[in-house]
Amino acid sequence: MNVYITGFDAVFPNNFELESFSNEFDHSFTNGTINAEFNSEFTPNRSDEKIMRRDIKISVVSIRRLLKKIGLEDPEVLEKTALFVANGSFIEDTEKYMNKISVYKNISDDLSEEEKMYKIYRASPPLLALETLTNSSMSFIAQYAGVKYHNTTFGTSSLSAYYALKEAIGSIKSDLNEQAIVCASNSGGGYSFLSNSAVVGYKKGWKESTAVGNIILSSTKGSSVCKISMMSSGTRIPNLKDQTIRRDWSSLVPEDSEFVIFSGAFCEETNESDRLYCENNFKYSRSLFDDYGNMGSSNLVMGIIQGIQLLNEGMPFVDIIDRDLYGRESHVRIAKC
Amino acid sequence: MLKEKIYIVDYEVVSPIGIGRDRIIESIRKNRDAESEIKRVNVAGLPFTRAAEIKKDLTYLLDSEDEIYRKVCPFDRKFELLVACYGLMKERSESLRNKLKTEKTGVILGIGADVAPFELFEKEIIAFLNEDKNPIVELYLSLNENGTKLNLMNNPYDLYSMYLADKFDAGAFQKTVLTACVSSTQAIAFGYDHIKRGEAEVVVTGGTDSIVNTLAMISFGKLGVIPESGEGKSCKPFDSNRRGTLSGECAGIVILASEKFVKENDLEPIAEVMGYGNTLDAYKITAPDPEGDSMVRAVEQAVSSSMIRVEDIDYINAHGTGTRHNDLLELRSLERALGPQMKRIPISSTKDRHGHAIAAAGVQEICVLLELMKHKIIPKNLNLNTPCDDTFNLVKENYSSPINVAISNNFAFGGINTVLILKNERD
Repeated sequence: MNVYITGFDAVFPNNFELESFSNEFDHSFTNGTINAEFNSEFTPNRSDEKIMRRDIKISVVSIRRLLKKIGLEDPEVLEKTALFVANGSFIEDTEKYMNKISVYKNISDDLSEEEKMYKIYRASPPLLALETLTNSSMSFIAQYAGVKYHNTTFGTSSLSAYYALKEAIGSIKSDLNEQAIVCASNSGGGYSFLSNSAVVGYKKGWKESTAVGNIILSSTKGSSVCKISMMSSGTRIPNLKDQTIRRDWSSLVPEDSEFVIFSGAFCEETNESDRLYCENNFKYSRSLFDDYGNMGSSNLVMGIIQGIQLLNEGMPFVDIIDRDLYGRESHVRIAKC
Repeated sequence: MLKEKIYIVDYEVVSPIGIGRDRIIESIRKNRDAESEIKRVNVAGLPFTRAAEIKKDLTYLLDSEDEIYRKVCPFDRKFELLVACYGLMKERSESLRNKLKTEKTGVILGIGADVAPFELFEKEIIAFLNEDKNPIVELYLSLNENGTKLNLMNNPYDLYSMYLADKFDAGAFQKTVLTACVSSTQAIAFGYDHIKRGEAEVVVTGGTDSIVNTLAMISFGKLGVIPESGEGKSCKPFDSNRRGTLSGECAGIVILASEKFVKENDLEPIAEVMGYGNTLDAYKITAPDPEGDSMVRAVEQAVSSSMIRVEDIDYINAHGTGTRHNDLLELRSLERALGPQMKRIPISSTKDRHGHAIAAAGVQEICVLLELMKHKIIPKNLNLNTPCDDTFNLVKENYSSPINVAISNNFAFGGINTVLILKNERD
């Protein structure tokens, strides 16, 4: 059974309008933020917006825009649509949490520990739990899109997008649902760097970005954009004990591969070696890192969306490969219908 | 059409009502609950000071572990519980581990919210603040200088599944599910799917979580789901006077295998995972759909995918949090999904005994259910005095009865409903 991509929408770093991103392939971005300061018919209501992380707000806007664009708004159909989310580890929100910690500074030293704790409790917002709720992206998307069926949220490295995609395809192929939404979002920035650099090892030229990508998959060809013709992941188990994380590319990509979009570098140095490998092995290759930095849990979906542009430019199929923080690889091939 | 069966072939649990599966049933029989004053974390000043905390020192289960893993445990309670849980089954699972094929073995775990252990670094944080420095940047930098690459402040969630992948040589996948109170329930459900679809023949599932920490206690307290400490028990599922749930912690591991693998390796199945239901409310992130439509669909899906009849169900292990929002809605949804004949089915929640372990709630309750099946015990709702609806068979006393088929419900904050159905395979 074939599974088709019937719609897509993305918010690339520094580039809110999807329609224009293909014109910016040759530009290099070093700033990994996305603009959340906008209002449109798709913007969540003000009270929800207040309790949303930036990437969640963008995800909600992107999904609603996508559903309208492809005319998928029938509540009965959405009720039977599955939703699989890939998320980063919300590390950027730690900054917000740490700002709360600064409440310590404002508490007089002559208070007892008990009195301090009570003051902190009183000062905490009623919906503090939402800031650490791991499924808040999924629940907000469901709420605003009306999606009510099979679901999960995978975390947290870039491999989570592959898992979300695999689950969506698996659920369609096993007849659990006819269509599924895959939403991949990542919060990147300085704090991710501080946390992830402990795993990767600090390297100069680090770039990690906030990004959101959504695709809709279906068992029905209809007016689909392309099909997913192949996917696989490696079986390499990261060795945490001796801290040797392999970041070379394995032979995951099929031999007939010619056009490749690759991601999974965190710094210029690794990107350079990835680029050399791809230039030597494929007719055409493009690094997502060059344009956008590492987009973590959105890498694979963003690669697919870029790959769709390449299909539109006449390439018969495109291979998208990604490698996560721990060197785990994933591969997806998209092809014209 | 006969479908291939998916079996549970081993399980283990570190729970407030027992360190190890063999300790659970005694606690159930004696109607013990784990609610007590919190010792591990300083909560003085908060209006709630009680939880279902695992009091026992787990060091003896960590001693044989690699140093790099042991080093993380004092900073990450979830990881400590998981390492202890594996420690309990390490010897027993050796023969199974020897039969596994890397490319056909996967791990999928439900994990709770990442909580940086700021309490441990309070002095450093205040010092950085007093120097007008960004405390988190300085703290991270100083931690990274210590030489470990397992970052102790914000362990990437995947650490847990990769730890078990290392132990079970599981190369097919190492997945982390992040769906709050249904995380580990979904992990088991998706493990079932992975085997059914041929993506693996053995899946190590389960989860780990602890909400016995100040951030979680404040967060849940502010939401109004943890009652202020006072007279009487905190958690009273299905009681008219229920005031909220009991904070808990747990790690559980459930190993699933295909029927083919079980037969080829001469394993004795413990239970069959018959099917599941999984839906979203799509209502409001802060409250469940008051009509319970998606809960109803989740139960209906679970029953239809399991290909059972209502009369086959011997027991329902309810989500039963003891919160105002959940319990009555859960009962009404069960009735809508299963029809009036379900009112004969005994229903109880065991959260009044072991507390609510959020992401590990599902796996904890499945492990308890497997013990109940083994020992043929239907447990009572421990703190039930005035049923919120006495037309249901809310269990008021423990009694002996075989449990052949049972439902296990879990519903998450944010509106996710996951329901599993198990069939006992032991005599």
